[in-house]
Amino acid sequence: MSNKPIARILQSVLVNHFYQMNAGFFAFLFFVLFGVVKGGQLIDYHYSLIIAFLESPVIMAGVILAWTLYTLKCTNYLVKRILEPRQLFLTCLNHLSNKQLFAWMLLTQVQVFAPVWVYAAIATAVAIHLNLWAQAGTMVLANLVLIGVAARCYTSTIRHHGTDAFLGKWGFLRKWAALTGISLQNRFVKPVFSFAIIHLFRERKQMLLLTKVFTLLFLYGFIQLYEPYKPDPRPILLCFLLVVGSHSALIQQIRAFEREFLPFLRNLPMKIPIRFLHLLAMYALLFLPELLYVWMAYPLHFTLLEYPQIVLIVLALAAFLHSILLVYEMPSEDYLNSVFGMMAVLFFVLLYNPGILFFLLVLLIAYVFFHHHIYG
Amino acid sequence: MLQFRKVEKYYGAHLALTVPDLDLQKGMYWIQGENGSGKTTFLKMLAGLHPFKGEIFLAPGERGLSKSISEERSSEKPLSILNDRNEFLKSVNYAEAEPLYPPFLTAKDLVELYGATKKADIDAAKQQLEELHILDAYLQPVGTYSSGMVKKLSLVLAFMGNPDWILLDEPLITIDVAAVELVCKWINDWHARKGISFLISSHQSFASGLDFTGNIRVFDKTLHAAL
Repeated sequence: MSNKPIARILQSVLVNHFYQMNAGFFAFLFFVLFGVVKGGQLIDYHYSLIIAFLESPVIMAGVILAWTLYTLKCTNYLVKRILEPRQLFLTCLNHLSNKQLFAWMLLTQVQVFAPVWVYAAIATAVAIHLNLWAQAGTMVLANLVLIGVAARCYTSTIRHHGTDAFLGKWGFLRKWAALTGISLQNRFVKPVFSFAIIHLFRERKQMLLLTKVFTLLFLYGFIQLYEPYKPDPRPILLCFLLVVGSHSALIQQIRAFEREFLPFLRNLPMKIPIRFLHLLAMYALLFLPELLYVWMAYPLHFTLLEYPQIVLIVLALAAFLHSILLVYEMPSEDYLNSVFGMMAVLFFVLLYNPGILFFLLVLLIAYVFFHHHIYG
Repeated sequence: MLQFRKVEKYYGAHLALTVPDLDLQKGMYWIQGENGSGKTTFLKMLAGLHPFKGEIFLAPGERGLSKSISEERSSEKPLSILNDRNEFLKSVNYAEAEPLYPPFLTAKDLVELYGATKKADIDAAKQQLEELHILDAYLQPVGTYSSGMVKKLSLVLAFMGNPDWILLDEPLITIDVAAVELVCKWINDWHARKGISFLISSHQSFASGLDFTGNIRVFDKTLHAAL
């Protein structure tokens, strides 16, 4: 096999797919890194950030931890992708020698790891410029190790396709989890609204974890740092606008799961309002941690009567995002434009404290979308 | 009776299948056609899985009913898949050629879901699973099943409830010889005893002998009934 087809296949099947499916995550990252400061201050802002982690071992450790989490995200996603039944053809790469296969996987990881190593390369150049050789070496070493370990993981997955061989001695954990799963399944019948959430727990662990860590930390920071003069629901509603926006990539994953695994539900005689209630129950379950945690802000930030507004904004916006994904298989870019558009409009609307009727209206719009497009 | 009126299926701008105005009386029909001719598309439209242009009606069924009830029901308005979707789907069950379920669901989850929505007898379904020798895996996730086991499960699900029509897309692929005979027996029995109609697409011949009412051929992107 010549090199060109291999490069093309790995590019389209693994790399492009990774970026497409995580477009929401990258758009959010881009916004945090480049959208929060004015254009003229961007270089100074990043230079200060780089200096901060070059000069503080604690911050440097935090940065390397973030890179490690990103590596886990990459490996989790790509290993799952390689093991999908329709990517079975990738086992044809087994005819390559270990070195060749590892080299291809290295190239794959270099591509999906680009957001990290490009930034790390700039930081390393700054470190060298400032004669901070230890920090420069640490960053180079961390990147090499993370890329190498991930590439090793992909190589092993292709070599031992469908088996737990690459887990080595930790394989028993998976077996134990499977056994525990069976014993629990003896007792409970899974309700329809839980299907997608179980899927996220099983297949999108890192994405779910990162999103939850971010949103809960964000709420924690807001509740700790902001003390209103009197209860005013608007700031907390704005927070939840961001919380739902942060879940946009997960909502996209839920739709992808529905498209692939749940078409059979369409043949079941379930009324559309019931299906919509299942949708709301699913998002209530997904946002349960945030909806419970926000009680830490009670009674300083909102009154008892305002809590339904918080629940309603979450359910209405999540149902709306879900419903627009029913319209057609929207490319990630269009979807993210819709998310940002919705957030921008709602930001200004929320400033005027529109009240619970407005959220009911958003929910109604979501239902209309859902009703018209649920069956294509 | 199934009635098709100006039914067309497009994928984007591409016309995939045309169904001429057709009244399909109750019976057992064999749908034949080359790969990609539109057999599965036809069944999926009928099962409510694919949107389409036109309209499909289901006349109230007469199977197993006394003459007075039958006369009463025959005067009822036909069910439209677009306007009476819920009632329509209570009467039309479907098994896919290559069924795909979330791998973490168990047969128990699926049987109970179908039982609740189709108002079906769960014990009867478990009996069928036993006859197909997969009841032992009732509590295991379907991700651990072989393709034949998943296919058997999907067939049992298609027989649940009180359907007037059962649509089976390639029901015999991937299942073992004993299961083929058993499924053919079920089809014959349910048709003869319960008056249930079948639309069956298959490239395989039915050695066990299904007494087909007629054939439906799909070619030139058009459905042709030879009744």
